[in-house]
Amino acid sequence: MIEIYKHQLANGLKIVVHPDITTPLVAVNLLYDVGARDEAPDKTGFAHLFEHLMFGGSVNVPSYDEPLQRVGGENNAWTSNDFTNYYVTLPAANIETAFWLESDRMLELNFTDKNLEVQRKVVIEEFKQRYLNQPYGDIPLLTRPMAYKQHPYQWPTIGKDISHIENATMDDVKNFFYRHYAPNNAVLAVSGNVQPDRVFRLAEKWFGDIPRRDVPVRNIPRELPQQEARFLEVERDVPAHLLNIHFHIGARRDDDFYINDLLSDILSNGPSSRLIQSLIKDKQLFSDVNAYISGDMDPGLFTVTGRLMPGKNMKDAEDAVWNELHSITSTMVDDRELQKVKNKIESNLVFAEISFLNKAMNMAQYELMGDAENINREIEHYRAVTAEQIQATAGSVFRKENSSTLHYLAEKA
Amino acid sequence: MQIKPDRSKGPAFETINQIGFLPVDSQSLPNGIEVSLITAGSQDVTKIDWMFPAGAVQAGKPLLASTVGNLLMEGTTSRTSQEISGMLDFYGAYLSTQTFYHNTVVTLICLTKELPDLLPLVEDIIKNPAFDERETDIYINKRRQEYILDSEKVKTIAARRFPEVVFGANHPYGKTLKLSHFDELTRDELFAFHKNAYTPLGGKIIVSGQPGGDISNLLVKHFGSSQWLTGTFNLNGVGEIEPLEQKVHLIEKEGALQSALRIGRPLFNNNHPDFIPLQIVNTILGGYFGSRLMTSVREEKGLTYGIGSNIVAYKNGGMWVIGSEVMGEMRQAAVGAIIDEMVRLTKEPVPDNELEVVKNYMLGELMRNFDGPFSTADIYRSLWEFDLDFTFYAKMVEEITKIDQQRIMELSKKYLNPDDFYVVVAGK
Repeated sequence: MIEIYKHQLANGLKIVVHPDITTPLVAVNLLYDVGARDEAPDKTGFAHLFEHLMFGGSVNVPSYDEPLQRVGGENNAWTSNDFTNYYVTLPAANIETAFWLESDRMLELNFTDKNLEVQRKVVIEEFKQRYLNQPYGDIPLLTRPMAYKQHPYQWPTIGKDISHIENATMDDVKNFFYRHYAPNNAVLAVSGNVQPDRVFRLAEKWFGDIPRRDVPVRNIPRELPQQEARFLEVERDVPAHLLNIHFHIGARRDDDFYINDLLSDILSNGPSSRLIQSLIKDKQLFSDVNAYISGDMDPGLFTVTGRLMPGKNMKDAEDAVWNELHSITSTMVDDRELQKVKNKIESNLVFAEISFLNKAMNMAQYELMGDAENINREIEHYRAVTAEQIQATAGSVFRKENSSTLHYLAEKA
Repeated sequence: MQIKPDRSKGPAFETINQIGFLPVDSQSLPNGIEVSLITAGSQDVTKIDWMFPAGAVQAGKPLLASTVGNLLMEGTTSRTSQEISGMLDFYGAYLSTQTFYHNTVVTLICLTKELPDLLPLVEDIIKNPAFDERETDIYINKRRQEYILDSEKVKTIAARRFPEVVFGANHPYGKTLKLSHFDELTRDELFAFHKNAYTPLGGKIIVSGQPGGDISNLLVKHFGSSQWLTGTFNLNGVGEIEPLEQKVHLIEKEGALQSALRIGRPLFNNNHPDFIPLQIVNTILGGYFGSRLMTSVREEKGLTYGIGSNIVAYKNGGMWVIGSEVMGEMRQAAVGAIIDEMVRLTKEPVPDNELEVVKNYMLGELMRNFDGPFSTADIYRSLWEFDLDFTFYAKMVEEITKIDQQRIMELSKKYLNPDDFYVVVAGK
């Protein structure tokens, strides 16, 4: 149970606070409601490139990192399809420095050609390091456009193509900033050794005079229901074949989220799960297998993926996966198995409350999704899921016409 | 009323002058195993580490120690692998093992209320593994596939080669895993190593979190018995290191877009008086986001997504190593830029401003590392291996606070001579 205090500034900035006196530190987390789904199809990778530019100094503070390090702070950021998140941890006594730095870069960035040029290069190296120079690294670049034909989830956060990053102009960058970086498009979450009143006062002082901005209303194309099985086969210089199947499911705030989450846990969460027991241990077809949901704000994906053992053929492996998917569709899970995955969710929710930074990040996301207090109601949603719902949902998700299958074949195998 | 902030300069701040270490309670079980308790935290969650002198050095043969550690969970004389995983998952608990050079750690993380049900399971796992033939094959085959996959990554290629270069291929710290090792383990070796190393002799237990009042009784019941026979492990010495003559090593990888770099040297461990002050030099060079290497190679030249420098301590030695993945065609420039930064520390005093930032950042980092019972327990565990305790970090706070430019330059001259450094490059 997380105790939460909330406040909103006149300019629209939402603030959520959780005091935790067991730590001498504090986490300040600023979540912006912008991600790769807000990019134009010919300018992809922008939300993430922008995350890099946010460390290049702001209108009154030439360096973001140095003043923070000077007061014992550490920071980082991440970008997803839906969000861009910035976080700082520092000694609680120095919390105000985080407000100074975060508010100044929300007010206005120090846009320089040099910063843009260098961060473009850094992001291109990141593109290579994560997606191109890594065995299986290009999978998202192959599978997303197969699963999504209309919706911008068809490109990964790094972007469709390196050229989009190479061609980014200063105008593009400024335009992106004023459209998405605004107090009325963000949630400030603070967790750690601090009282809520102090946080609210500091927020008023540092963020209060930042003007509300015109954030465009989201107008993202809806993905049309998939009607036919989709398939792609590629050959690469990798050590083993890999199978990847995407299925369409609902959005994070839809009711089927909790059902699909438990369904994916039954399949592959923990060594006793079905896919691991059946495909790795009994049949020894795979060396590694995984099932997970994306949890995206717009309708997302249920993914089943695994690497094959040497000498095994793709057809057998794929049949064995479908066998497991059909089995959960045709036979209801028993009480103990359902209880097992619910217990694991419950203990994971408790473990997640150990880290003050984790709590700040979660509060920000739940507040952006509607209400930070929902963190404390999460367990109830999982507890309410029935075996009948799992079976029915599995039946509607695990259909060939709802699937996009990638055979990623090893040239040498 | 609106208070107008002065955005031109930052708010006042406090400098950290000490770290609050959580107290450690120690006791011994009847059979001599020492137990350390770090009680803290707001959740009813417990972590227990069991340490045994069952590392790669004692095993003396690559793959043996980690295989024994990982197979503990794959079946006992009375429980199948599936029963074990089914029970752990049902209780929402995590059990894992990690093998290091000089020990293997078995770690349980669970809700405190489940301890009475889970500790008998852990006892069985630690004392009575079956090393079932089928489970052993599945494990080895899976591990082999992971090894082959990792071998495709330039980063792994460089990381595997580097210790061989600085310690010598026959030294335990330089011995790297080869594909052929996967065919050389026998079940007899697994049983024999387990029998000798997983015993109260040289063992140690660390409990952290909120384990509840009954924890001592539970530990005595399951791990305190004098019937549990002591083994006969030997603390295999590690001998002298034999660095290679050749300083630069290039491993070609067809089609690589980036080159992985490892640049470094053999070094001492944290029992050496220069170890703590060198941590400060290392931080300036490549130990944080604002470091000189990050500034030069990433932020100014855009040659990499990331670069870092680390001093790694082992029980009988250590190494200093800089690592990065850089634009393939620019690797010469990247190596040059790294050497330039090393040399600059030997020639120019660190500006006051930079030194202040590094000192405060390091103190903040210590505070973060010591936050909460679990991370405190991890630090306690690694110190124990070196016969050190938290006073080591109290001393570090002191040294960070008092170090000056002159001392940094002296240390740099002594330890950052490029002639002492080895370069390993994997890529195209």
